[in-house]
Amino acid sequence: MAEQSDVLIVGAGVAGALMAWRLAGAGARVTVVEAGPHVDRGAALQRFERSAVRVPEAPYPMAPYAESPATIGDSYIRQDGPDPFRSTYLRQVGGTTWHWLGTALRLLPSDLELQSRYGVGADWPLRYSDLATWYDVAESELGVSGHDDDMFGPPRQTPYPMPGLPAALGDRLMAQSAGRLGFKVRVSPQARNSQPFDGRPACCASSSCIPICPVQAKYDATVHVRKAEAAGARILSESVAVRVDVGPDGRVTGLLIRKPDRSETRLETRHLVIAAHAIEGPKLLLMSRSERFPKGVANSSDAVGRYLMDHPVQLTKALAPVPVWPRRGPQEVSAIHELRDGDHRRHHAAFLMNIGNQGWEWAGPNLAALAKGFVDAGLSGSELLNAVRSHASREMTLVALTEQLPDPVNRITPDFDRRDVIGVPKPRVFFRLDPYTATALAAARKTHEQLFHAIGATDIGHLPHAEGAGHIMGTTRMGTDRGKSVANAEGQSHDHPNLWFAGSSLFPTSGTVNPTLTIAALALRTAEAIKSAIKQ
Amino acid sequence: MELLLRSGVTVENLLDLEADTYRGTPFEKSLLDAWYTGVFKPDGSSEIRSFDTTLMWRAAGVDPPPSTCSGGPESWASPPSNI
Repeated sequence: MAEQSDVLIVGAGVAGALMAWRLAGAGARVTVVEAGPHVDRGAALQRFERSAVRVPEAPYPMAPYAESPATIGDSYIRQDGPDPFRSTYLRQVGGTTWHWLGTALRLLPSDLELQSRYGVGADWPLRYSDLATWYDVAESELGVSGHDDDMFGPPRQTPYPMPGLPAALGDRLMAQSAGRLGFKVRVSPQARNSQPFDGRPACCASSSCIPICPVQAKYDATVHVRKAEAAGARILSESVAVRVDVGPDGRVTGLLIRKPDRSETRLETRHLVIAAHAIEGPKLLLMSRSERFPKGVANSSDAVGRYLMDHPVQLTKALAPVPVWPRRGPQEVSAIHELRDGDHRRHHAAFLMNIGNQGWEWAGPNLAALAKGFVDAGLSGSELLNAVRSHASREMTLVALTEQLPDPVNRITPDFDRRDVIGVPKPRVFFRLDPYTATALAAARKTHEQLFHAIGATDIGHLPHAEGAGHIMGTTRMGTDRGKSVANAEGQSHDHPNLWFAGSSLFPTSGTVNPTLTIAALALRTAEAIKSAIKQ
Repeated sequence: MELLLRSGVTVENLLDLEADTYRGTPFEKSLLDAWYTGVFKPDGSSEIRSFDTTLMWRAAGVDPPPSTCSGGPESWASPPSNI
């Protein structure tokens, strides 16, 4: 008979790692299966430095048995919709936290009540007060640096675990003029150490948060993978989940995993947690279709895979009137929050404006292309040096993350006609931006121009398309209406009482901040519910 | 070309390379490009042959380059000290 776990978790990213640590620490027999491999930080750093194109996934070799989307030349996701879905993610132990930026903002209370306050989108099945305590715990676990006296949103119940980080020079320049437009520049809370914390060093200003922090001053989920293992959890890497099994009583009984050599093993469990991000998680459920469940597991609502959301990004670049010396320190340090909430949400999406501190590396041309351009133009000697220095030292960006409404046509499904090397269907995605978000993108362009004009910037230019933020949300959403959602407020499947979800796939709406801190808070909250269920 | 790339050239060395001696031939441009960007292009392909000695970082005030520790959390709050 196969070995049985109390809790089997699919995915060793931030949600899965935190739950594994929490549940194993409570005495549960926990197994985590992760499609991808373990990552060696030193090897990843070397790979990053050798990369001709330093995209977020550059340090991480893609395992053929655990493919993931590529920023350039992607062949993993089949794009079906009118707008390309541009976000990527990593399948490896630690998940996408390997290359997240580290900003650790909370959602606003209104973000969870979009329908009842503004008549659009949906409400969450829980309120901010249900999450506040778990945000506190999440901030302690991830290690968040923040300024207690400079928050946008509800007052904090507890101080941040660490003092806040200093503003970058570009932030300070922007702050001098933003007030005239009714805005305030605030240093963002970040899961990045401002002092040694939890055995990890303070930020050393390597300015490579995306794609890799060389010293783990920025939190990544391998922190809690290690803690989970120390608490007794078993981590099975290079193990691709391919089918969820359900017994005649409607309870999940186990999971079939496939190894790189195509061998298969069935794992039995009392509780199953899907913590495999908002693309691979629903794909697994939809792949698990059968005669009894023709729409897939946990999908009586037909909502699995639907309501896919991102934070479409409006990126605007400019040259500051004076040097602000970017590319030193975190790639974004501060942000402007005022348009995250307000009555405008009845008509167009809210947005958060981050102030970039990485030059034009994302907006382009990057530094190498800039230098090459000056060389090609015939510059040399001090002329070349001064040209590179003058331009690079003044490069600024504003990066607006816009809210996207949940739209059932935006969805991920398994592409049964396209399979990877071990025979697992690749994803196909239908994605479109609606006028609610498109109007906000236009508003962001206008506001960015006002902010840049206010500081006397020149060479202002907008990226002509909305970039993906890498914030993939909404495909197994929670809700009170069983006909339109997949899970309840505890992350528990409506259809199968011992099937749970953890991660941004649970989000009914997106808000405007990166999802990681909320993922962590929800996962810790769901772990408590599972603990109670195990005892019953 | 590769030996030249690894010859320890600095931004300061190149300041002597003024217009009266520099003619901007394709070879000279490819050499300058390689020194500045670290991209070496044998046979039309494109390879990174140097990273931390690449001159563009120093020129941009990013010294050491990204992925290398350069100071504590206060270091980005003031202009680079080595410019």
